[in-house]
Amino acid sequence: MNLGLILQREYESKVNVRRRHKVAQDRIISDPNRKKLIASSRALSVRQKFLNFVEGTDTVEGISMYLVLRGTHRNCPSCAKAIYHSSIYDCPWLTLCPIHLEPLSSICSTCGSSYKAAQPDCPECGHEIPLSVLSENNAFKPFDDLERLSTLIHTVEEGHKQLCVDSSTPYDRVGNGVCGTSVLNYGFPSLCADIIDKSETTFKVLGVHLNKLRKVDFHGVVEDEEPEADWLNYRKAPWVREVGRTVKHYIEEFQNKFEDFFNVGDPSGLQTVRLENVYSEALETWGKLYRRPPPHGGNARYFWVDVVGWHKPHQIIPDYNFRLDGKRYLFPPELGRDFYGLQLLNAFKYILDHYSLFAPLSFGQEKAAYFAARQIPNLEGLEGNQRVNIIENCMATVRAGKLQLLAPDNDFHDFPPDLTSIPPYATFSALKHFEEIGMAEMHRYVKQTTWR
Amino acid sequence: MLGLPRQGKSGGCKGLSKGLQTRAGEEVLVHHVTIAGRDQRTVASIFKNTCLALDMPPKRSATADDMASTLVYYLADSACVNESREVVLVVDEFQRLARQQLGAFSELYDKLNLMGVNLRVFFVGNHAESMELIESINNPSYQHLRERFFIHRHVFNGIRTAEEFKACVDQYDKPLGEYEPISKYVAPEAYADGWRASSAAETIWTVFQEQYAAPLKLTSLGMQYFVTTMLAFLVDYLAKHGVDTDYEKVAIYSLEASGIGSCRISE
Repeated sequence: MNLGLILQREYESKVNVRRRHKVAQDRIISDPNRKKLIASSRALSVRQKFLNFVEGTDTVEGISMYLVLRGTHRNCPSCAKAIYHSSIYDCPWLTLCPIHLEPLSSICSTCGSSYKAAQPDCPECGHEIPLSVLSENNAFKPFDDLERLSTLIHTVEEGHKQLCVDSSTPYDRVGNGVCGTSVLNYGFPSLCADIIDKSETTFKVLGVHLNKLRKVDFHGVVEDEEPEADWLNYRKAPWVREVGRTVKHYIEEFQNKFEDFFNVGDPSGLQTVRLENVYSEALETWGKLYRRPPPHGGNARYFWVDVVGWHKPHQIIPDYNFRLDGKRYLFPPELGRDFYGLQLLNAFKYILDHYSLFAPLSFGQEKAAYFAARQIPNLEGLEGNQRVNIIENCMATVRAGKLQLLAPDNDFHDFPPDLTSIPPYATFSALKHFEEIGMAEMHRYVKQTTWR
Repeated sequence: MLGLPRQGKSGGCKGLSKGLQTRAGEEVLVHHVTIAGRDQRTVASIFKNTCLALDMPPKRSATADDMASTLVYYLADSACVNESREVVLVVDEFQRLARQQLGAFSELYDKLNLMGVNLRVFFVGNHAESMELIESINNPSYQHLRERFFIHRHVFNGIRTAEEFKACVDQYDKPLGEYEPISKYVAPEAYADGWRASSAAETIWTVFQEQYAAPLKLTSLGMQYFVTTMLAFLVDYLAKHGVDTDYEKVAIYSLEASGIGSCRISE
């Protein structure tokens, strides 16, 4: 099977690997290895791509897998003609090709179709391209200057590490204890530029707009007894402290009530709802957060927690604003920075009202197996497929909010709530809650913030 | 590479191709194609022949363009193992080619050249039968072929001197990789006492010269005949009759068994 190695270049995306395979593979040849090609395509099935992404095994290159799912695929005309694409091109904040400094687009400049739905014989997006055309388009020559691309990718990878990029779905995020921002977020370069030396120059050369970050000043000391739970140091801000106390109370109550649940598959307990996750969820609805060592060195036990927003309201906050029912959610552009503040406060309120009261948003297979086992005592004795089916049914039932049907006693009869009936935590309903929260509180909050 | 039949040209090429390297010490992949004689001697048949040799059987509907394209990318993939992008194609039984079929290799060469890949083609053929084709491309209208191929010409000979013969026989006394020498396998006790197969080299060569080379006007001993002779000499005779047997008599039998008597070709 021809692999088109002659077209291989550094930092190419998996999408491009498949394209050069197609370019080099003549369909008229009855190659016994074609089965391998088909198998390799299967290996890159949507499900697999999604799993790779969710498992967090992908690096920057893997981002394209996620973008394939989302239907986004952008390229520069010159790169496309030279059979090249890098995953970094799919990042929505990147507008110019780092190699040719040409605008990135999702539409082929030659045939007008989208790169994802390429025309087979199009010299820019297709794969049935004569050698002479490929040669004219410099497809067989190495790029003259890969330095900008190389620098950009290394910067993003570094940012990826430092920003604790979240590769899980929002739905599962609360449960598995990760938080952070994504490379795909519009705000990612701004955060990168703030924490990585010289990265600002890299982004500016490529015309990436860097927003000024807004910082909320409630940094503090990580306490020994609860190093994880207190890293936001919410005790320093009175209004956060109040919320924190209440949330903690609810969680403790919840934990005591459903002790079994918290201990399933996690000897340390309290796996599912953790304070830091609750807060990070809330804060992320308003902006982005990350933690970092304090400036000028200092004690490593000190952390700054920055909540960042933007001067200009942006229309799309990607990835985070999924509804719990899975639909995407767009913010209207006219809502300004105060809206984010509202969202933050509303998020806390929402958490208090709904989130911590009932259920974690994550429900893994182990827990499903646990409940299945309680429902069917001889679960262990069943054959593999039967057992898997039962567990999957249990998971589906749990996610549909009908776990009480499986629960053997009354402890679970309110658990979990029907998630689809609860409004998402960052919604226009923030405005509705405005009066409840209080204008005075809102203004006080806004005054606390400082602009950098 | 030209030479008499059964001299070991093909085997020699295969042997040498395993360790081929660029000046930078990187591996150069070598692909072998043996040209098959066909009624219809077309460019497409050469592509098909090459596709089959490279384990890419084409569909019946495959056109010459399709096959050429696939071959080009296949060879280009092979060239990517080294930085200088070199790949070698050895075309055996060159004499079976028609003049116009050389265009197939010319096309591969040109397309790979577009990709920045250097295709080196080694044509291996029987001397006398190939001369007609070689002379025909001396015509100025085939200059493009002469510039791409046939830059160097090498005449491959069999064993021509007693020294060469002895050097070849010496190999039977040396271990072959992890295996013991053949002469030790044939006569273990004699080998332990110091006997070596090379002690019979002079006798066998003399018999060859007197009984076959002169009457048949042979200028060299082909590798196929050499190998068959030595196998018969060592395994069939010495292993059974011992190393003290009459070498000359056994050499006659062995040379006869190799089939060299049927060889009537001379330069």
